[in-house]
Amino acid sequence: MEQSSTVIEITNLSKSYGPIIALQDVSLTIAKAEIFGVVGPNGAGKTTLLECMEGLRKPDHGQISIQGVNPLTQTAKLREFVGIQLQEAALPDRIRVWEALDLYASLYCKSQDPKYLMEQFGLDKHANTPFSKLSGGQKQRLCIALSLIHSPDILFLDELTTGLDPQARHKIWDLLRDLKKQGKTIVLTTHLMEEASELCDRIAILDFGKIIALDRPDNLIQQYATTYQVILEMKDQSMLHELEAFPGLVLHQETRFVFHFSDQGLRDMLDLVLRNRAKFGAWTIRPPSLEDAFLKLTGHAIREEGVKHDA
Amino acid sequence: MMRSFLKWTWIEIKLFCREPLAVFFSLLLPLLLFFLFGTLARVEYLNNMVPSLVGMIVATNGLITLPVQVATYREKQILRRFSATPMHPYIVLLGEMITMLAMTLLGFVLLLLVAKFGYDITVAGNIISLMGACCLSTIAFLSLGFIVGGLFTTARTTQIMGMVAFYPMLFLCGTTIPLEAIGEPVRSYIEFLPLTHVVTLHSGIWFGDSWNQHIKEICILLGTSGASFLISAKTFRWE
Ligand SMILES: Nc1ncnc2c1ncn2[C@@H]1O[C@H](COP(=O)(O)OP(=O)(O)O)[C@@H](O)[C@H]1O
Ligand SMILES: [Mg+2]
Repeated sequence: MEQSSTVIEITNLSKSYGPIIALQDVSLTIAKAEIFGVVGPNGAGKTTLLECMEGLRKPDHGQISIQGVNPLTQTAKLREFVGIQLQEAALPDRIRVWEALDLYASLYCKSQDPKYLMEQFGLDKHANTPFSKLSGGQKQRLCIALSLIHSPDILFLDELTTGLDPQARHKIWDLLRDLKKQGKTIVLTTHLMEEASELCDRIAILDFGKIIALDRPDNLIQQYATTYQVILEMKDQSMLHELEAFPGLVLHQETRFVFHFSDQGLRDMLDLVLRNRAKFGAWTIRPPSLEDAFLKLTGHAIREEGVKHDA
Repeated sequence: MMRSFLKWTWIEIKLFCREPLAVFFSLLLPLLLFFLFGTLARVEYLNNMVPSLVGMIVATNGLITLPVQVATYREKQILRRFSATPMHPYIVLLGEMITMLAMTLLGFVLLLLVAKFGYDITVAGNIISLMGACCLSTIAFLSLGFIVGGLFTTARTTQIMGMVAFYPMLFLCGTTIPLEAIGEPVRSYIEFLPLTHVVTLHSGIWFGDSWNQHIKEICILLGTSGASFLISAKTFRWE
């Protein structure tokens, strides 16, 4: 899948809203059938980047080519092979599921059967439900179905699983993996690190409008996140001194210890625990995660939403 | 394109009918007022009621219902979502306009039916001309509505501003207080309010005037439509 045909090419893209710089010199390429994630805290510029690709916003500088089409000058052509889901679910409250699908189907020269889409997205039981009465997951599934109505080659999905419970989220991930198998290219934004690392083939980390890293999630973790976390319960006091003196200790609460290790430290700790198994209760190792890589790269956690933006 | 336009307009009509507040203010309230006056007033006065109530329906739909709907579509990003499809958002607004025109005519017909079968009031003038006058007035007010609906970011502000435009017209233009009862100095200002001409035109045709006798009102309403469409095309906020 690596470096097959390029479908999206962005070079030196910049966009400001008055004094606010939303995108700074962004360049990237996306290959066919790739799930590409744009990751970053709120206000990082993710929506702006997607909407520039969708032809809904005009960049100040830079070029965008979507399968050779310029989104600004060849918008009508773009609409035919691109599917879009905006960050906010955008339908009238009282429109029924089937009405929305039926309407969207009528907008394109060739479109899929609304009935088939309703079945595929588990909405057939809700055909007559007004949009506002759907659950968050059902709303998002309807929005994806609408964006797919004309069988586009490329899908843009903005914050698709924000506010969903894990079950609904996993259901949507499965849907997207299916679409990828069908050869569709998917560009999505998220501020969920778990989503980015489980779903995306490659991710661009965006912070204050700049791409600060772009790679496969496992590469990013390997390159920027090297810390293993070990959490350990002591059964008795016999190991107390040894644990307190162990390098890498970050937290000690009564019988609970938390350590951060690099490879060597982890080896020593495993050695200690396995040799004295009976003296310890529950223990877990958390491998380095994308969240750690993000922290390392940006110097702040992703959940400190949009802080110090005027910096 | 025609197919999707018709589909959207039909959906809009259904959405309107599912919105209890819109149905109440645009269709039921004028009827309720008519019943209220019907039990209170003498029949001669009732005869004057229909043109006034038509003015009220036209102004409600044009200055409040349409702008609030348009602002809601903008606020909820529905216009943007459509601009991400091959359908131009102008089509969305056109569908909205046709819907409101249809609903205003429906309100008008309901009023005529209640007048005829409830109080045995019949129109002296030509019914087709009356419908024509209703269409012309509605289009003038819907075009004003696009100015109101295009100016403010939220539906809430739009509603308040719509009401600010609506209430003075309602009281000054002969819809609630007869024009004759309003003193000279104010009357010269009232000339500038389009609703005055809606009510004058409707009363005239209701009592059997021909179109020729109302060239002035017709020109004013046509002018209002044209000017408002031009202004709203310049001032309309799409996001
Ligand atoms: N239409 C707009 N007008 C002014 N500022 C905007 C507009 N859209 C976004 N911004 C600002 O640009 C920055 C990036 O926004 P956005 O692209 O929405 O980020 P994200 O999707 O990552 O949260 C933010 O600071 C935001 O406040
Ligand atoms: Mg966003």
